[in-house]
Amino acid sequence: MKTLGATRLVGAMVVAACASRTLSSQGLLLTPTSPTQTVAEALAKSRFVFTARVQRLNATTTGSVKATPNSVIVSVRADSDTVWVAPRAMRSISGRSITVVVDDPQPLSVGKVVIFFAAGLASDSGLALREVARGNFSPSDRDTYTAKLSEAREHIVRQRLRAAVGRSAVVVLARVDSVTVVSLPDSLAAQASFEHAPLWRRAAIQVERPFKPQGGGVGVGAVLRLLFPGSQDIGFRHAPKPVVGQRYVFLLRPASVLSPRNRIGIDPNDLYFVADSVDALPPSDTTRVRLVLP
Amino acid sequence: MPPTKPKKSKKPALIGTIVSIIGLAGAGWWLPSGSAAVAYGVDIVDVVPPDWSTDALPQPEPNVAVNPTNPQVMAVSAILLGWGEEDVGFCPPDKGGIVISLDGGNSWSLRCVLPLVANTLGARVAGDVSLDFAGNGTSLLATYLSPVFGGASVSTLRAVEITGWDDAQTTIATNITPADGIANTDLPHSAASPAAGSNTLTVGVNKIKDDNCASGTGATGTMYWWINGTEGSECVERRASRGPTQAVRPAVHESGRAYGVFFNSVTDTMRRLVIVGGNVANANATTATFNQLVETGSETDPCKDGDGNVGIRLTKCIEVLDEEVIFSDPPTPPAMGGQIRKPNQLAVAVAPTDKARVYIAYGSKTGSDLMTLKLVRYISGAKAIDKVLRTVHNGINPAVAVDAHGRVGFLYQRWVVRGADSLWETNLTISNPNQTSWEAHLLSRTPAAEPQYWYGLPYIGDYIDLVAVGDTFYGVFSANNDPVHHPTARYLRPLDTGSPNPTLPPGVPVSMDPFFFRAYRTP
Repeated sequence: MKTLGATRLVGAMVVAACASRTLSSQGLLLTPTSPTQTVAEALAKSRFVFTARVQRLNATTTGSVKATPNSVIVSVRADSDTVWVAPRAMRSISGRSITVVVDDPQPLSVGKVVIFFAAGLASDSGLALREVARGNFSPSDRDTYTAKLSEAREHIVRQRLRAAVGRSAVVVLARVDSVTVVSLPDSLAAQASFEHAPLWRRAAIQVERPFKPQGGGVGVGAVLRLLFPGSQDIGFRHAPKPVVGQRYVFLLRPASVLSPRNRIGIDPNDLYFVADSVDALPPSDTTRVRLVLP
Repeated sequence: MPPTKPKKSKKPALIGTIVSIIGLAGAGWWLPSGSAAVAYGVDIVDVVPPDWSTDALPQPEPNVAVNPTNPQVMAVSAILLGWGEEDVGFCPPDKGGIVISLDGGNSWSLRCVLPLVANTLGARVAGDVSLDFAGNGTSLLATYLSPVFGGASVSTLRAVEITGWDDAQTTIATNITPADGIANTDLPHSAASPAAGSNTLTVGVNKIKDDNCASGTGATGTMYWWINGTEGSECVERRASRGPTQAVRPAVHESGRAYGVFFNSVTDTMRRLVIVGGNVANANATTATFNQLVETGSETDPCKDGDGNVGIRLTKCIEVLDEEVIFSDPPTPPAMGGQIRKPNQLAVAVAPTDKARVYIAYGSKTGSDLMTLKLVRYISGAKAIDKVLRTVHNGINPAVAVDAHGRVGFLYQRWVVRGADSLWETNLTISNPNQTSWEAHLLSRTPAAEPQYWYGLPYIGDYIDLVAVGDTFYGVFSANNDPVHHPTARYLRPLDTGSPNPTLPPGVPVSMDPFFFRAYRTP
């Protein structure tokens, strides 16, 4: 069971009051009216967020990237609390010289300190990233950016959750009463079994608290049936696997949404399904779910 | 930090070869016969890049492609190579990674090139990646599934043409399939035509559709092809089938002669190996071509020959281990210490020297084996297998290639039990041009219980890969990455060299890494 990932930022997760100052910088627009919106968009596309000093222009640290006007060597700051996001399987980029391929090199100059949002371009004897967004940075901005990244992370989580709630016909807090294998007629069972088939399982859940639809439709104590992928294939590694006796906030879609090929032999009437990690949340996410209800 | 190599002599290839031969002798394997001297040296490289010092992700199901016009250029793919969730992925969320070498496999660069499409809410996966270089050498062709499961749709096939690999800034992927991909396809396996100047891609798939190939049955084996960008497709499994055609493996000769092999399901556990033949060169891309191997007769018993249908059935009804035996509910560590996937243990290659000579490896359950691999030779037009060349007990993941002189390379992994321990071996065996003698190389031997079976992911994976360019074989396999089990392999990722034998850095658990190798003729 996974909570939404608001705690994945590297470094401090201090949630400060919204910054009163405006951080305006080329390539990364931060305005008082929507300070987190743009940071969230950049963060959603990024695998790295860090500060660095421009070392050399029109240069590169790896043979995989040719030196062009758009390739810049930067020295990542050695203090790890200004590397906010990086893949945890990689060795630290703190204190290293790496290449960043930027869209517009003009505002950059040697010695300039910048915060970069970036994603991977090449990893070999050197490291090269492609810029997603950037902004000016000074040490006094650190806490502000930490706060903004935390807010942006929460914004992304809520955005995703809002989309999931929006596509769901039913949202409930419920307890899992039973889990069974979906039994199909012999010939259909054979056709429904292929490598990336979901291998559906069926769960019966008892509603403790309905959230959607509001004003009736699903009552406390109602028993609902849902499908979830039983496959252990990597494609389903984040699919919910409800456990009997456990409670979840379920975001349920009608099984009729599934193409017939995806539910061979299964009658979709009065049946729902969950397939993504966000479709079955721990009860602790109830508050967040309520905040995004229409 | 520079790439780390275990300490070894200045003649690594020879040492490696000697070690592998000794290892085989110690294991009771036969030694080379029919030739006086060992003919191949083997270099092995763990391709996980240097920066991935704490990487512990499982990276099985590797695939390899080598540029036929410039064998210094090659590419390897594997699950979770560069992509993944936000705290483990390197590539942008909409790109999957492959590694590319421009120096013959000595160094590897992780590149983010495969366009990924999200499933219902953002999860992006590249599944079942196949790589091939086009015969013209100017394109790297990649086929894969994205998304693997779409919620409202089953998995979607994508094929792209990758160019500009000299500079990561200019490495781009251009769609071969339509922008939305080809929906409801599974288990793609691809083969490019090796003909000089050609740009032809053939892909075998399990096509999940309402009007199956044999109406009302599970027959779904389908071949797609693109000839200079023009798409065609055809059902290749024409017989009734109890279940979906799990895999269709293609092989293409430079003349355009093409083959596909797959299993026809007679019952849940009984299947027959089928080969179809066709042509993908100078053909009208919209008309059927895989109809050139036909059984004569009117037999109706599916376990007997001669039913008058397209596709020669090369085996009798044979037992194939069914998935439910492995994917138990609740999940438990499966047999063989790893995972045997759906019955898709298949590999095929056609001899560059003879378009009628086909080599097929397939798996079935025989005797006390969980899986028995057989490598066989088939001569096109014949009604049966020409000769069984090799038999491997408890082997999986076969891969076959034929070099420019007709030498056959057979790569596979084998589960071995030694007392209380179980091991995974990765073996390469290479024949002489007539397949009358074989030279065997043990590429790795690792404990099957480590890393531990990780619920929800392939462990040993569904496939490994082998290709040949000229008289050199190039391959890739995934294995336990503890350096103690790979004394001759070179590691790009950092190792701890403080102890007498190199180890992974402190705190980094053992996991599955993709290992590239090159088997080359020695003077």
